[in-house]
Amino acid sequence: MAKSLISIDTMGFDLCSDIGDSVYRHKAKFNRHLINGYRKMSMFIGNSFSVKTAVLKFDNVIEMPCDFIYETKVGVRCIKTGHIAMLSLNKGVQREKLNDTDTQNYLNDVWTNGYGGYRGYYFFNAYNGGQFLGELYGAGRNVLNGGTYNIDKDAGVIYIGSNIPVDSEIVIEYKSDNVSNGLTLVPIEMKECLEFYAKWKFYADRNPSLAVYNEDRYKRDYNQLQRFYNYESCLYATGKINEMFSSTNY
Amino acid sequence: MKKGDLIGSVLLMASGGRPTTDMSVREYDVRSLLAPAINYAMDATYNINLKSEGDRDFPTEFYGTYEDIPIVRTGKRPSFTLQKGTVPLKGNAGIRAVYDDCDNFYAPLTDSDMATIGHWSGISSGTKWYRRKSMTIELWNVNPNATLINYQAITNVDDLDDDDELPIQAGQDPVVIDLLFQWITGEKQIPYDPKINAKEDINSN
Repeated sequence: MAKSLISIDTMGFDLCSDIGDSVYRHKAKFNRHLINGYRKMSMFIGNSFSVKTAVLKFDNVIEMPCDFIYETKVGVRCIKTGHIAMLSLNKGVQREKLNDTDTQNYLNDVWTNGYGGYRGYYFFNAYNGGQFLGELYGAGRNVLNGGTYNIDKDAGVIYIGSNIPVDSEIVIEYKSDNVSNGLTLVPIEMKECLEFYAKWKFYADRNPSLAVYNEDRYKRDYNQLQRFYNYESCLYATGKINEMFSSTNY
Repeated sequence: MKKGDLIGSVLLMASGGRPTTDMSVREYDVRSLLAPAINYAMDATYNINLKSEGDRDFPTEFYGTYEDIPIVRTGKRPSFTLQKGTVPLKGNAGIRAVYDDCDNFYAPLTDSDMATIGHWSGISSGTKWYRRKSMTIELWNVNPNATLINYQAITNVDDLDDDDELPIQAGQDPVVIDLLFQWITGEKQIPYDPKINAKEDINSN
């Protein structure tokens, strides 16, 4: 959607200048509000769907990345061979219930024999800590077994079961809220709306009347953005209506 | 007003206009009280400007510019050392415009903000911060190519030379002189009407 981008950092400096803060002592607060506002917008009015993949070190309980919304693929990677065995895919792919022995055999098979005989799946936009890995490739199928993993979204953690060996890493592809490590740029059409949001939150405890003013302006801009992002031309709408009534005349 | 001029004029007033070698008030007496008097006037300046203009800024002339200070990378974080003492002003306004030789600007990181910076990962990775530890300034997310730092600071009056201009906003000079005279002699000068509307003139009755 965006034709141009602007950095969160620049917006933070802009806001400090607007309120006469030449030493930028409020910049960290403004940045925090800007990021929070962008997180909300990207989840509810943005039309882009971004996924990220995190490679997580083995532990009994692993903390999820802070931008995690829900998982799209889960795999387990052998540190020695580097091969990734799939554990979960999207629900369109058939799941197979395995007992503990079958699960361990399945993991060993993928890890030692690589990708032979199994269908492969990509993990997109992969990071190991701060290091960008690009795409990772996993092999296998949907596995249903209680000894693999369990995700607790409320606690933001993933529990690892007894069938996952110590010398492995968990590879998880997930829907991101777009606010992750390295967020620096946001679409320029969101600039004013985000600035009103930041000022609303900034003034909430300092100056209630200014907070109310900025909240009002934010809501107006938010609605405008929502219309902007969901806009569809009349031709498109007409085509859809024709499609409903006739299978050929559109 | 220059530092040396102000000290001389206060000394002259305290001696009754005839400075002699056997005066009880010496130059170092004035020097020792100069910093608190200036700080008082500076705080008043801030409040006046905030009230009248809504401006939280100090006049540009207050700030001394320090350039090409080397960044030290031997510690846990890159840092540099302040060249002179600063005035402990409200809102950490003593230092501003901290930027490196790659033209990256740094913003102050308060302790309360530092507590949440880990969660707001976007804040820590995308932007640059500085944090003051006494006379050392720690830098966060420094560009690896940056070697030098520039900054502006309101220098502590004790660290200024006699030829340096004092950080006093126009109109606040008499306040500083009056304060010093009052502290040194233990007496107030003849009251005057600061608003020039004759209401506070004791001789008008």
